[in-house]
Amino acid sequence: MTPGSRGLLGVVFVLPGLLVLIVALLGPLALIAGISLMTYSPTKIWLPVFTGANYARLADAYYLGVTWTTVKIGLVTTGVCAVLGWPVAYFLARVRSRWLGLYMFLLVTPLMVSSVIRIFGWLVILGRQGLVNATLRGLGLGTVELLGHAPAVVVGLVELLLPFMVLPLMAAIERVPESLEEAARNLGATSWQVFRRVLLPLSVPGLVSGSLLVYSVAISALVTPALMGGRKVRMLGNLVYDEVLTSMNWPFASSLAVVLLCITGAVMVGYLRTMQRLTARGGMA
Amino acid sequence: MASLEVRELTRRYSDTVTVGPVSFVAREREFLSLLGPSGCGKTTSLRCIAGFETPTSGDILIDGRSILHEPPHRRDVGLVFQNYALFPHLSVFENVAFGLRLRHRPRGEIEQRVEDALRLVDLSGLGSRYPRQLSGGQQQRVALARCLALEPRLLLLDEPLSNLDLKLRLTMRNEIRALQRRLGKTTVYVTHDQGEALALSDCIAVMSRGRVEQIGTPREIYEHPRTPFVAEFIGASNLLPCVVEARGPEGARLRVDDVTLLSSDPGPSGPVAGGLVALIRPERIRLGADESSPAPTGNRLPAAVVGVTYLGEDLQLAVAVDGGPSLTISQKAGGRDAEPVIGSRAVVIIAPEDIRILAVPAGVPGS
Repeated sequence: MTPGSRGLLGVVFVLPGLLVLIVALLGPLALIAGISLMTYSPTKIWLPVFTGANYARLADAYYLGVTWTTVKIGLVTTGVCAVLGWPVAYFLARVRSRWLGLYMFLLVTPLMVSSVIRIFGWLVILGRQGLVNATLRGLGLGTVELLGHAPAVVVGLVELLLPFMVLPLMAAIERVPESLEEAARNLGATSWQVFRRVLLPLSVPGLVSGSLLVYSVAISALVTPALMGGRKVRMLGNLVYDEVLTSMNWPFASSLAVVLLCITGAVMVGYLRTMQRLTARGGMA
Repeated sequence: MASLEVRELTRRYSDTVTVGPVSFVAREREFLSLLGPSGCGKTTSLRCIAGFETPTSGDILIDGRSILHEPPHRRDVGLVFQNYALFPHLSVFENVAFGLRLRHRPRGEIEQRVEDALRLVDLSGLGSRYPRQLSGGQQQRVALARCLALEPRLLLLDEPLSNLDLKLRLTMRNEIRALQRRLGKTTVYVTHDQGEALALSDCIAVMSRGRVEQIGTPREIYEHPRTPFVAEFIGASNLLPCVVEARGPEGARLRVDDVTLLSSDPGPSGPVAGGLVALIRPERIRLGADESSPAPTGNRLPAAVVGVTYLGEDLQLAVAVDGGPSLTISQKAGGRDAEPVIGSRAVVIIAPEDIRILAVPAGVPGS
């Protein structure tokens, strides 16, 4: 096969996926970007009159607060997933058991259950009349508000997104030969030092892809904050949903969506840059 | 400097898979090789010494003190891995400094000792490279330097040359030997390559099926193998099932097929469950041109040449002794005499002192 024909074959292979992306993603995105600059009309939804008003409205303290909450929940969820996910990934990467298939199945079960049912499970456990509070009341300890605040949303998101962190981390750890751990121990490293100086730096690629996945899904969360965050916790996704389906203010919803996209993109670029600098210093770039 | 003693070490993996009991001693400054085929327990023994596996029973002592209770990171024995196990995210300098940093040595001392270790393995100036930028031989040297920088009590090497090509293997072999001599570091070297073991070792422990078959100097092992396994594993050999017809203090008369041989080795006394074999090294057999050629005392057997293989330095001959066994003979190639040709007749000459009689252990199928 000549290099030219191989290039042609590449185009043929990529084309269908590319077309779907253009028609179903880039097209609508361009439309949203366009509408975000149009004027809202209560009767016609939007009028083709250019305006910056939708973005100006975002400078309002309320919307800035929601944006900050969204970013914060995204970052905390990512951090918690990394801390909880690393030991799980290490276990799965190193275990030599015929039950590995079962473990992997258990790991991804949260993704197989519908969001509504998954969260309903949390309501049953954490709600005012839920298992935890019933037990506390039974012990005469009163009722604790376990839902309706940001930590509750993080709990719900971590449960859903943990596999997105564990799977890439697991792949990265699997690529680290066990002899490296043994070599480190032989040179005098304690278990913690083996983790800190060998395993953690070498699992950075998995940590990076896992973090990007978790973060980008977390900040666009809709159902989890709506059901577990109550009225107090609002994320950008909830605002967009309300503006599109309740207020029918598409131009403003579009500007929110664009802001969400920009934040996601900016955080990802910043994160990748930082990690690249760190790993370049560590010699893994 | 330290001495190592492995005493009745066993490691049980399951009811059927067990290593040991294994016992051997590496004296101070000694280079001991554990030699055997894969699965013979040599690597298991080494991993027990390093602390990565826990023996089921037995003891391991350094300078007479048991180290079994010490976790791997406190054993202070340097292990060089088969795949080198260099840290890919650290430079050569940082790889070698790894253990020193863990010990919180002052910066000046770390730089000095890393520098010294790199000079020792001839890698001065490559400290800023990363492992992936080095050749296999250089990576091997870094792995050695990383161990030596810590000045461990023992140096353990697990088939360190098996990933290198032949030429480099020979070079590194000499370097390892020279380095070990210079530093006088007690060393345990695991290998399946008999050439490496012979060239490097002060002492070889030949292992098979989880047991030590024989311990001795390379010369003892080669010239006086105690079992057919050792004879077969070290060097090439003709092993011929035989029967002792008569035995005296000066030797024995053997029957191999229809041929009678005289041996100066009386062989093992007492009953032997698995039978006897005669061991004759291929390079100790001489080939006379024809049946009338004058020859020293010894066994003179008429034979036909059935195979000639040119190996460059050596010529490997296969001969069929009349009424007897087939033998492999090794000769220097390119000598002044005409080389034998296939189909020609010849006389096989074997001195009685070059025939050794070995007992086949019970339960081991004879070769």
